Amino acid sequence: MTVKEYNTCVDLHSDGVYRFILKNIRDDDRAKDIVQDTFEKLWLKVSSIDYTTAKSYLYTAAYHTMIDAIRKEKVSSDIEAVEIFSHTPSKPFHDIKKVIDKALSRLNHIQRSVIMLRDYEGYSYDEIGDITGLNESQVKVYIYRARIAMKEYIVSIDNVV
Amino acid sequence: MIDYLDAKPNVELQAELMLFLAKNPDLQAEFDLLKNSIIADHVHSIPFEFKQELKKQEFIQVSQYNEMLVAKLEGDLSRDKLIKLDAEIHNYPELKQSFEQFQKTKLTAEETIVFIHKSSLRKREQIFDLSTKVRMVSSIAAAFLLILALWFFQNNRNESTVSFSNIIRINNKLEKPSTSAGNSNNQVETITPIAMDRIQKRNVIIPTPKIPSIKTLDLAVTIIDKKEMNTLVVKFAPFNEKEIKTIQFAVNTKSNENDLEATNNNYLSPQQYLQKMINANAQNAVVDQNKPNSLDDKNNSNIGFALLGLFNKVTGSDVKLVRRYDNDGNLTGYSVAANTLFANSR
Repeated sequence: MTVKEYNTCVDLHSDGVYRFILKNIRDDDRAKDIVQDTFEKLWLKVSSIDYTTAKSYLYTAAYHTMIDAIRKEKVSSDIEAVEIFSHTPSKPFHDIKKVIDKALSRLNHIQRSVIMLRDYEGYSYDEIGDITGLNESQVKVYIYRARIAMKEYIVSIDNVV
Repeated sequence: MIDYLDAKPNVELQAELMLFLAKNPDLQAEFDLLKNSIIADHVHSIPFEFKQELKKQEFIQVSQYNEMLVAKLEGDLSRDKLIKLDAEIHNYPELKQSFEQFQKTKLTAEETIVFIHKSSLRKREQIFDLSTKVRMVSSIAAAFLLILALWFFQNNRNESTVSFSNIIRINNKLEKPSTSAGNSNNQVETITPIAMDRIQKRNVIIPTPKIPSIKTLDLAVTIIDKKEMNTLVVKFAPFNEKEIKTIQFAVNTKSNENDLEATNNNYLSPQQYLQKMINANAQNAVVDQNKPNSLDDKNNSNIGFALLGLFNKVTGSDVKLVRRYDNDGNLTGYSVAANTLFANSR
């Protein structure tokens, strides 16, 4: 990959990678750090990575970096879970976008990642498997369960409204 | 008549009926009235508009359809299954509602979320202009030429330079070559004719340098003191292993006598030994390594000359054995000198 191709990857994929990480860890500064680390890893291997596979490399590297960050700060993610469950029905959500966002945040990081890779980037089951280290069947199960979980949350909110 | 109206006519009876009606015109009118009372077939196709309201709905477990609905959303259903599911969605409103809720779980990228620090990620492209290319190519070419020049220089030096180790003065008093630097007697120099003249006149010891190269002639001259005999052993390494022409010959000199004598036949190759013997026989000389030299000068020098001649012939060298005399014309010793000395046969 040439320097020009690398810079093209920055322009094409930095937004998507950032969005993917931000939606997962919900921390702007950490998401920015992860994006920079990811592209630095790509730069270190710029001579060995082909331009056509750079996108999947970026998402794979970003995903694994994110997982490492999540594991290191597991306590903060538990606190986040408590915060979600503390929501009371007396505060209804009228904004569907926020409802979806909330439903997404309730998922575990694997379900969240596979759903976003599926919907945001349009990856197939096996491509998602390559990025996350899962097999195709596992990816399918995670996506199905994530959809059902999100749907049930949406239904519960709709019922409240 | 009833059978006729019910469309079950018997041919014979039908004929009888027609004959009867013809005879009784008053019954013909009644028959016609009955005939008009039959209901037309097309009336049967009139539908009941409110049939659906009369139907009762089947109770379905929507949750059982979750996997199918998600599969439809992900595009994983076959065509047949998709048609069947679409029909059921159409028939069951709660199924339709459930599918619409699943559709809401399909995320769309928020284009408003962008990474604003792209400039920190980009790398500068190296400008590789023509001048840089020219400089690089020139450097490589210059390095190559330098290596080539050194190689040629080294080879030419090896081939043209006298590359033997030491020219030892063979005299009454043999001297080991000095290795100290700076001594004019030990200066490294090519043996030119002028230098050769100097050697012969002054018996200058001229050591030669070691020239590290695959073409280096490794010629070692050692002096072995064997009791009172000084043995000049000239050994040289082959030019390369494919042309092994190692020749060793030993010239014995006695410090006290002006003689040259071959010491050990083992130093000679078979050809050399043969030649030596021929020469020895020709001169009626017998070499006995265990006995002190008792041969006369002529015989010894002939042997020496024969040996050196063979050596020169094999290697293409021009080693010379030069007699030395004092002012009175007495033979005082010999000198070994050469302009060129090669290890391989030419």
